[in-house]
Amino acid sequence: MSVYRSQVKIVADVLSSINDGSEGQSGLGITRIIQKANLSYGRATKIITRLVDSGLVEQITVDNNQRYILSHKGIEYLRSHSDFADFAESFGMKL
Amino acid sequence: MLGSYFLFSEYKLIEGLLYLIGSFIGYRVMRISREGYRNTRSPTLLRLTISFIALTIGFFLTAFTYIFPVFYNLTFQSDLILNFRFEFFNISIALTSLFFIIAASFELLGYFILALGHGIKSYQKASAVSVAYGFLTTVSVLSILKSISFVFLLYGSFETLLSYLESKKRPILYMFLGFAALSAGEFIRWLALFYSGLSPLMISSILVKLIGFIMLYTPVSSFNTYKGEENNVRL
Repeated sequence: MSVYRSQVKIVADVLSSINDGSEGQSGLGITRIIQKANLSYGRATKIITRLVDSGLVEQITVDNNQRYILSHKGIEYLRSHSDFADFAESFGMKL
Repeated sequence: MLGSYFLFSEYKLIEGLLYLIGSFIGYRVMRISREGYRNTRSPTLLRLTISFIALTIGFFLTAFTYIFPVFYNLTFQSDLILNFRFEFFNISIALTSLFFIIAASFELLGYFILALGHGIKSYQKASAVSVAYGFLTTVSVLSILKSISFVFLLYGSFETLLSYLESKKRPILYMFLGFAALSAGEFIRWLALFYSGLSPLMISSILVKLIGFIMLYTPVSSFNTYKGEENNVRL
């Protein structure tokens, strides 16, 4: 049975896949993000555009390829998400 | 007769202090979840925030209604202040009863949103239990509100138990024990209705509720108010 993922969880999955997959400052391409976060292309591009607009992710160009790295704000978001996920879990809830 | 039981309890001060502790814990949880919502924009944390705002107000109002007359009587040697009655929808209500009803309504709202956070899967069953429970107790606005709160509290503790069985994490166990002790305390308190004056049931109810609040606070105490940078993201 597939597990329901909330919007917040999907965003956290995208951010952590960018964080884990980035090699140094070269960032992560959209294909790798789609694979790691288990999303469709359309959904992933929408989410990444929103994350770039909100300043959680930065878009860079490496060898004419669009790549994404986590901004300082994105790292902070991931950290607080992890903390508050534990908090919500102590009430038997998921973020 | 609304809330007459609460008026003539010999435990006014102790119960008042207990609810004051409850409102303090509720306030702490509310602050942490509010910080969490600001940082993550999670609807779960927003529900927790609203739920604990309502519970804090409910607990605080209950504490105030218990404690204030005790101090007033000690200071002014008068019992007039909260016995003031007025007409409300053609029903004469004492101010104390009204305070208890408002407090119980906030508690009900808080427990309802908390249960909503788990997703109500068996609403019909819950309402049947509340009706049955309502028949067993004194039929009044206050007892109806309290019995529905009790059902939501029971539902919340049951869902928390299921979460614990799934993940086996200790904070969830504490939270389950806290909710379970609070609902047990509430149930024992209803049983104490059948006895007047000092009863062992009343003492056990207060003790069980106190244990419940301590259990609830145990996992919460490990979460300090978030000190990191506030993201205030728009997702």
